[in-house]
Amino acid sequence: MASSIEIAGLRKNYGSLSVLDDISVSIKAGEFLTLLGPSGSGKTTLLMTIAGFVRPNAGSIKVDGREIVTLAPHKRNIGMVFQNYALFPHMSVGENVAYPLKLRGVGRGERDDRAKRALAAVRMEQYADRRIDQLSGGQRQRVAVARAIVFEPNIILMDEPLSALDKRLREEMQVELKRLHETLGRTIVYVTHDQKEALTMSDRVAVLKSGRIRQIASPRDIYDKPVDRFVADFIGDSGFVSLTDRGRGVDLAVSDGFRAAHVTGKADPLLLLRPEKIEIVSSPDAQPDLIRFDGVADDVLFQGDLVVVHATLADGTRLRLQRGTRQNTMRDLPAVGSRFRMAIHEEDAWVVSGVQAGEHAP
Amino acid sequence: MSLQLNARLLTALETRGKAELALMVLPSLMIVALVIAPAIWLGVLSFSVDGAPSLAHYQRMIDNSSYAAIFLTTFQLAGLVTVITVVVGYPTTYAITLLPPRLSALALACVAIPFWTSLLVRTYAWMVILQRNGILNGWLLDAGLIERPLRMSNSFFGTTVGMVHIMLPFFIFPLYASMRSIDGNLTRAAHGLGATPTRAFLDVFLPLSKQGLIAGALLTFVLCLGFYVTPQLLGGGNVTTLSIKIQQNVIVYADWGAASALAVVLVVIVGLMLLASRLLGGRGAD
Ligand SMILES: Nc1ncnc2c1ncn2[C@@H]1O[C@H](COP(=O)(O)OP(=O)(O)OP(=O)(O)O)[C@@H](O)[C@H]1O
Ligand SMILES: [Mg+2]
Repeated sequence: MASSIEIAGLRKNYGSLSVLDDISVSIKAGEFLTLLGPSGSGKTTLLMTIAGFVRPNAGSIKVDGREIVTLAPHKRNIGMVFQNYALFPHMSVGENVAYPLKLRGVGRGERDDRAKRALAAVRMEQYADRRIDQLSGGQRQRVAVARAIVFEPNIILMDEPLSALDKRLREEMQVELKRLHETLGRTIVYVTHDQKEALTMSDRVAVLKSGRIRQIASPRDIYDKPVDRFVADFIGDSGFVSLTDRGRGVDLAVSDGFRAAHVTGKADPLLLLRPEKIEIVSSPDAQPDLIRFDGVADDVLFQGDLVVVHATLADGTRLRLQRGTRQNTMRDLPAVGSRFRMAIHEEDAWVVSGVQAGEHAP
Repeated sequence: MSLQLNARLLTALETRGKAELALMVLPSLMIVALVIAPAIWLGVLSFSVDGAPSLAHYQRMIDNSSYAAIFLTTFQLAGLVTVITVVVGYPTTYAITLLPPRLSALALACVAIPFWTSLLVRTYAWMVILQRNGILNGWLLDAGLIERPLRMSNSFFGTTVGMVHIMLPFFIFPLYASMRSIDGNLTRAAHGLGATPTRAFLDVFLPLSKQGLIAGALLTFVLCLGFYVTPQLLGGGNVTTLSIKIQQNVIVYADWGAASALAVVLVVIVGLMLLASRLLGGRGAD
């Protein structure tokens, strides 16, 4: 059914440009792994290397323990959804989906049957006779998925399949893809630019930068416990306040336990402040596990479901806070231009090093 | 107030549109005077003998058996040249699309340079190469492959070679444009779905380049039908095409009516072919 993928020491250079730099990752059978990273970080190249369209300079790719790095793409039996769908414009929707079966010598009747079932899985069964250019972006994307799953490959690769869709359709498709992953149980390697999409869909997220994996972890861990400033910045909104003693005017008192666990030993430790984890302190009663700091409210923006406060701390750090819009939280909001006190629970707090970590193994 | 102003401005725009249209009248008149009127005049000529209406020119084409041979030669030549051009040109063009950008630009320049050279010069060059004591015969004799010179110029063979050379760019450029517009991910996708490289080419690339192939072949064929210089020079009087016959009718016999009748038939044939291809192509594209 699903296959495991074991990637070790994978390298790819274009001239002097190192696009994949010693990539090692093991993907469990049935896992949904998302590759996330800025443009040019090597996501597509990694996917193309797994599919066999790009030949690496070094390294190994094993599927279920079998080395495939030198195998031609058509012998790998991997389903792929290209970023621009790559549907065949001279074939109908049904013919597109049946094509991989035709290549495998499946007879006409069974072919049509299975193509129909794959189309049904993406709720496109009534479109089998349509031409590709008669479909909307979202429909094309679903056909591309159907074509990638119809021959029941053990591994499915998807390269930013939802990037062309508008927000609403995209969220709908995220749910559908997730559901499909659950029903098919195949190993999926997914590429996206969109951090929210990555967090929503994946079992694990790998953050890439300049051809290296900076961190690979579950969505919760990668959000709450980023390994360095780059990962923290890339996933979600983040503010950082220095925890060194020469804290430039911001006095952050942390408990000894927290200091020992999170701060000691880190070069240039920075407290990570996520917008939704910051509290606004209205009463002066002292709770020991709160890290407190003061700032000035620059603006207060009501957004319907959220209210966003931008604040500046004494050292010039700009922060974003985010609260729900229930009456009791709305009452505590600071007036624009006023000083107010904020805090974060130590159990919500995370400290990263301001000095970029070199390589990191999970 | 502003509504009135808007109305005035809109009227002004409309007037300007009409003025722009009026400017087009002069060029249109020139086209009518220089292109359409002479064509109509030739058409009229073909239906008259000594000023009186007559179908004699067309009747002659049916009665005189030499005309059938001329039509046959013309179509054979055009057909053969087109087939060879396609067989040579398609793989060449495909190979050019596979080259890295800089090399493909160079390869296209190599196709284009002869295209910019005078037709006459290139035809004479082929005469030098193919004639009895020409370069090619010299090589073959020196290599001991033949004992006496082959007759390559002044023949159907020589004409075909020369015309293929001249037609190739006409075929390659449009085909190249159409091949470049094919998304490379499509053949990749086929490959990834399980097709061997050959199969991916046959199932995806070939059908997608078919339109360009047909358009290029049709252009080549139509150009061949009316070709004059090369059959005249490389055929050396042994290859009589429609165009040569038209020229003879005018220069040798001073019979404009007969020449016009041939020209009319050629135009009708080409027109019908284009129409047929449009109908067929239209159905294919749906
Ligand atoms: N065929 C190639 N020749 C030279 N350089 C290439 C080639 N393919 C990719 N690159 C380079 O490799 C780097 C990584 O490209 P890749 O397409 O993998 O990035 P990506 O993470 O998918 O980016 P994006 O999010 O923009 O799609 C880029 O700097 C790109 O310019
Ligand atoms: Mg990419």
